Amino acid sequence: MTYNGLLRYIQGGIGLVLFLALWHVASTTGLFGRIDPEYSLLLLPTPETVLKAIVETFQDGTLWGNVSVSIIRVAIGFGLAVLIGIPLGLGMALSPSCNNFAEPFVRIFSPIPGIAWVPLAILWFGLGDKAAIFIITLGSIFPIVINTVQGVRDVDAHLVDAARMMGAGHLQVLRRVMLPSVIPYLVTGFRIGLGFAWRVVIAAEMVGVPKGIGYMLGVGRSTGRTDITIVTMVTLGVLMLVVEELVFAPLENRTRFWRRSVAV
Amino acid sequence: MELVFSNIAKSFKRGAKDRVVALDDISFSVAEGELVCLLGPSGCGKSTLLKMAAGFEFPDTGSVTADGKPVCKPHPDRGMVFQDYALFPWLTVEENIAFGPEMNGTDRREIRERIRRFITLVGLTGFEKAHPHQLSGGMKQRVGIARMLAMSPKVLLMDEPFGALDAFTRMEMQEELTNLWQAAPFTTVFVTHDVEEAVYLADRIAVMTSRPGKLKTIVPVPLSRPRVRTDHDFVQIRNHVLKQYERTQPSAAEYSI
Ligand SMILES: Nc1ncnc2c1ncn2[C@@H]1O[C@H](COP(=O)(O)OP(=O)(O)OP(=O)(O)O)[C@@H](O)[C@H]1O
Ligand SMILES: [Mg+2]
Repeated sequence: MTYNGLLRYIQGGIGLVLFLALWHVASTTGLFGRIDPEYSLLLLPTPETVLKAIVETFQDGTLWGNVSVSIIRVAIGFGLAVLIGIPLGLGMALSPSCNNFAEPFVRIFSPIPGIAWVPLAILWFGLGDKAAIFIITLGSIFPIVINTVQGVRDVDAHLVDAARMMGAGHLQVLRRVMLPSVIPYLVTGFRIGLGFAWRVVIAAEMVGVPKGIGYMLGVGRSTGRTDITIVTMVTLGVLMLVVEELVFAPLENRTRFWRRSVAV
Repeated sequence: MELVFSNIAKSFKRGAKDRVVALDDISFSVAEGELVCLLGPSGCGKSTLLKMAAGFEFPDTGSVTADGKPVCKPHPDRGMVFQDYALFPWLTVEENIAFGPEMNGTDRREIRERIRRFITLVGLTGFEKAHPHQLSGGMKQRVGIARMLAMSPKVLLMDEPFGALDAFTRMEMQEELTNLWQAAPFTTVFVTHDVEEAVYLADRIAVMTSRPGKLKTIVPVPLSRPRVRTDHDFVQIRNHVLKQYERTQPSAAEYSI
């Protein structure tokens, strides 16, 4: 490891330890003497309590049970968004009439945050998976559509010319030129879309869709188990970090390395 | 394959209603196995003319025909080296070169053989696995040349293919091209704004002038190959070509030698 790399880990670690220490002191001293320590232990459980709660919820299955429910909802909703969004984006980019039809809708609906659909979704589909999936799809489809359109429009016309000059037909141009040019845009669309999907599913679960990470957050609050709420928050952060580091970072590296000379 | 340009005119939109005449009534032909250089100042329409021969651009009036058939779309018979290289940035050097042969179903062994042969020819041995963004401008240009040669076209359309090369590599490549062409004379249109390069390579030089792009004259180069740049006859022809600009273009300064 390089000196700078090592320094990064050491300093990051020190920061984290300081944060945990501060947290511990704050919750045991009643937020530095401002309130009754008993009360502060309830509002802000110590890091150790949270760790215990992690082990507890992990062992009794509530953590994974709720997390997996949310993951499945996101997988289905986001999968639908991809299945609809990519063809729609391709259609909009390649056919002017398709674009004329779809563009007003995209422009009107895309600025509406997915969360704003929660009330209607619950009215239409009831408090269940369907409502969650509906708003996840709506909340994550627009970045996918918009990035697909942009990706196809940004394909270098010279490269298409070069491919046709070498004898490529329509399908080959699509597969060997359009696709590699568009993939980096798709990855960007997926990353943004998935971020929206998570926010939206948690909001839906917090306002009534049963089970899931958002539900667990709310239950922690209403039953006085603040530690469980914090466990859920930590889980959320870790989950996003893992997806980012294990999926998107490598994917972006592999699909857009050839743009690095321009982009970075 | 014979290329015939007849009475070609082309104008482009510039701004809302203004049009700029890029090519004005250009006629000439390139015989089977002939090497013609298109020589002219920047903006005189050389690339436009070449793109018409490739089938990317179409004249407003007049026509381009290849062996009597009008050119209406690109075809691997007519290989082109693009002025801005147009390499696929996500493919390695050898994958770029393999693209053409893959499109017409050449078998893998033959493709490997061509990759090796043309990478050696353009002097890029050792860079087979490099991506275009890791290459210099001159190296990219040579990949573009190798890529076109690997599709074994009948007509070579080269748009300032040596423009980004240093003087020495440029002379080397001119020699290589001459050798290649002498071994198997393919019909070639070679765009350049380097007079010496044109005299070194061409059977005939089509001298163009700009604003609007017109064909001034065609200068034959009846010298045997390999040509020597310091020979009396070579210098004579070079001076003759240069004179074509002196008379018509008082602003010969913008014209690079
Ligand atoms: N797609 C286009 N749209 C508008 N104008 C164009 C287009 N292509 C070329 N032109 C114009 O046509 C003229 C000829 O351009 P062309 O690229 O053929 O010149 P050139 O002789 O190749 O120049 P250079 O030596 O600089 O490459 C120029 O005035 C240019 O502005
Ligand atoms: Mg040009």
